[in-house]
Amino acid sequence: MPLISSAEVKRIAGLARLQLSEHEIKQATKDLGNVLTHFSQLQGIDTSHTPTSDDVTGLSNISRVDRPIDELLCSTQVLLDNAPQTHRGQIKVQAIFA
Amino acid sequence: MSDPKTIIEAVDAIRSGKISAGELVTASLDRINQWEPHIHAFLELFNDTAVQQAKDIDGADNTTEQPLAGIPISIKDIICTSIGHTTAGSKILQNFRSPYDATVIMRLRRAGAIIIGKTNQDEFAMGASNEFSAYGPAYNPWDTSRVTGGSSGGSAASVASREVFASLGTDTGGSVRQPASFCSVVGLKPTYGRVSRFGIIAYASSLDQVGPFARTVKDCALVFATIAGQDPLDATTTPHPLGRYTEVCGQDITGLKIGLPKEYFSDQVNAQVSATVKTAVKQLEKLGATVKEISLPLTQFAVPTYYVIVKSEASTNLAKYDGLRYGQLAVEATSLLEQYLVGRGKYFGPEVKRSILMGTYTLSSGYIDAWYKQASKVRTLIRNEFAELFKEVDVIAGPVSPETAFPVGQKVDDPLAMYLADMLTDPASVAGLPAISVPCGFASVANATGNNVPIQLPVGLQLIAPHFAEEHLFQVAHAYEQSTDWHKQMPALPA
Repeated sequence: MPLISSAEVKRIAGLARLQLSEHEIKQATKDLGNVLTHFSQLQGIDTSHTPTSDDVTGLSNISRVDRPIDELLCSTQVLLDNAPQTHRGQIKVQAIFA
Repeated sequence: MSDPKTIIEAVDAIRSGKISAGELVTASLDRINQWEPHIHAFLELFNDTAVQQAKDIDGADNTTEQPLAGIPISIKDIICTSIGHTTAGSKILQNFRSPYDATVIMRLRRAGAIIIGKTNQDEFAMGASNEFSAYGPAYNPWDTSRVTGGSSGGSAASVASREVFASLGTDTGGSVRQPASFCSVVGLKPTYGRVSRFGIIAYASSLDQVGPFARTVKDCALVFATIAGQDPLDATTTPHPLGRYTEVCGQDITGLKIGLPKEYFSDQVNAQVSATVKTAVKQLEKLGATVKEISLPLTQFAVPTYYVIVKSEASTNLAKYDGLRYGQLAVEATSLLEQYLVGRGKYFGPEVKRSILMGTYTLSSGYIDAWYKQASKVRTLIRNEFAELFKEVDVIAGPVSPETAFPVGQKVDDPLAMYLADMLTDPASVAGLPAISVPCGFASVANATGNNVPIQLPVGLQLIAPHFAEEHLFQVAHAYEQSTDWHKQMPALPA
């Protein structure tokens, strides 16, 4: 049985907020099926006494003083210039509650 | 006017008045004009600011404190620069202008480097061929019908064609080393945490590292020394002391122990590539190193381990692209949800969509333990396997890639084949280890155009060292390089 069905691909595309065409869903089902089948070799490795890798070089508790950094300060306008839609100095978005 | 071949020579030539920074920039822009129609290494050029910056350097009283004063350098487009655009090779960031410089850019500027432009790459660094760039692929200067490798393909091509002296790329699972190997330049992936990721558009945060490309090992060491070091803006950078990266270039390698993993020379590796790398290892023996065959049995699990982790992290990192504060917005959509769905569906490319789907799957409820957590545990096993071996050897040697540069189009529709192209670079990435690719010769390959004249394509020798032992990599790579002339060979400008 394939590891992933087209219904499952549709479901995860919805979770990931990604609109796909019917053709893309079909292709993704095939591609992900192939890849996951190959990768399922991981399931055969005994890791019952192995911890996950949460860090690779031994760092812990790194912190810094929270203060503005002059080189990174920029005007509001520079930030607004990147926004596709603005209105009176604000970023314009669709209503959440329609 | 002198014609410096390396950064070290160019800096000397500027300081002694044999050449100006302006002349160096003009020469670089001339090369770019000649080569760009053939290789498409750049997505954007900063001619005017580069010329102005060169003028400033030429007018300065003293640049001896600036190790890269006047040196033209290119930057992968995934690295934020306060000039021009930063697209990460994606349509979704087509209009994005970063309000700030990444830490590595600030460090290069302070060192006097001249940012010539932004280089082509696979979209969000996802790919091993540069064919997933939303702006069209870069082409290999040694054979323009072939890929540069990826994802930092434009960076590698810009250095190989001598458009620039050096470039910054990023390496998550081989994205500096593999294109360096395909294009016959030096490329370093530093230890995870050695170079700041602040201002780097994330692919997979537990693996991404910025790494330099250069024409020689010592130049690579010089650029690395400029960008390396702890950064308060990236909590994953380490306080571990820095090494004497340029000073070790030239030190004898007698007695250094080099391990040769038999899994890196399996039948999955092209025979000519294996033979070329083994010849390079013999050269290291002649230079005084001791070579020992070793085994890394978990090598075969590195690709699945890497890809499950990388796609899981990528799907999380890509969740922020909503097109509202920056990026591309689906203006035709009539609700917020529809804007997300349509915009992301329209402006993300095929490999990015695959990554989001796979990562969302491997992190989703019911699957996370079997996929993401299992991969994270196997990652621990792979790290431990390397750590054990580094009790016996100083450096591990093998090929960078199982093959030479492949023809454009060969793997682009076969995701698994593209993923397996990283089989020899993923292991060091998963373990967070530093690794370097250094040109070690050419393999004879059938000509893709179908005539029977074989062509010669570059092969890279990969050296892997323990965490923070970049000095070993530079020492061994430099000794090898200086005993050969591969680094002096240049691709010919296509007719």
